[in-house]
Amino acid sequence: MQNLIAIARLYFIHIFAFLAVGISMYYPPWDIILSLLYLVVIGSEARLLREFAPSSRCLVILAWQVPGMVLFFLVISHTTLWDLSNYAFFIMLFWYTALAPILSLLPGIFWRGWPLYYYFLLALPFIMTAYHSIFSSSICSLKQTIR
Amino acid sequence: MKWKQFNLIIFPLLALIFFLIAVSANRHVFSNESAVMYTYLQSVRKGNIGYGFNSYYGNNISFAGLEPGDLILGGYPGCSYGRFSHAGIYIGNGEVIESFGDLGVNIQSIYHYWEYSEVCLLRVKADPAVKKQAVEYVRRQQGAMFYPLAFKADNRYWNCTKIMWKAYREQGLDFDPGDDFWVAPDLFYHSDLVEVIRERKV
Repeated sequence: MQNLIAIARLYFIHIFAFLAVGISMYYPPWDIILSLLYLVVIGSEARLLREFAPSSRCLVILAWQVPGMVLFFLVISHTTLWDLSNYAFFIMLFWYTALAPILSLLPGIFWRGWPLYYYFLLALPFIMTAYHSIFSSSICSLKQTIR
Repeated sequence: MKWKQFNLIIFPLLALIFFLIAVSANRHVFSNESAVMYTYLQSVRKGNIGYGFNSYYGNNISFAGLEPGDLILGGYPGCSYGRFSHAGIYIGNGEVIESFGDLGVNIQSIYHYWEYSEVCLLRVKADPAVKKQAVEYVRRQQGAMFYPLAFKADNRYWNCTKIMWKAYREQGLDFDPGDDFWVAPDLFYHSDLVEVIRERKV
């Protein structure tokens, strides 16, 4: 039950962060501030997972990033069925709206035909998994205990 | 415990605050029946979502006579935001600059507009020097990020029409005098600032 609550909390935060950051794009640079706040809030949620068993922790983190990972695989599969790959990238842009302001700060450099933000957006499911894992890890909490 | 509550409340609260501010500052958009958001909602009710039925339609329109700074519109059947779903600005040598999902603001061959079922070439009624400046502006944005709902207010997110609107807005030509949140491709077609060079539907 505590796993489901943790997953539900993350989705709730993520969806409302999408709305808040999306609307705040109308008032730059508020979108950047809200995006950074999103990272702080997600980091804070990750810390709550420290009391969880390692298997539960992994389950929560993976369950939270499943939509991003599915979209990632749809994009890299380059499937042309119903133009799925193309639409998957659009949906991915929306799904990670909360982090779009940070991606928008990347330099406009192309590498192998795609701009830098393309690669970072595709990597976000894994970056966020790592981010969440680090903040929820017992190694971090151990360091704090030592201090 | 307080942090747990804060984490849940903060974004719904911020979303509400920014929404109310945006609504109160843009009542003219919400009262405009032809605003892009209403066009989109009406299309959704008819079952049209996104940019329509993507395929290669082979319109084979001639691009002869295009000048740098001219605009190209393309559309698929069933597009939810109007007759045209995509737009680009001609930069010469058979190339256009446009903004698209995975490519951001980028240079493409003009011939990819043959894939659309509807295509239209527009001549901007402006001095060649102004059009050259507009082209230079879009060139400077290469590699910048695409975001479908890019508001007009910032310079970090672009969609296909915002880049063209902004390029000419910087030169004093405003294709959206109604001051909508977004610029639909059809707005360029209906603007007094352009004349249709040629168009084709297959």
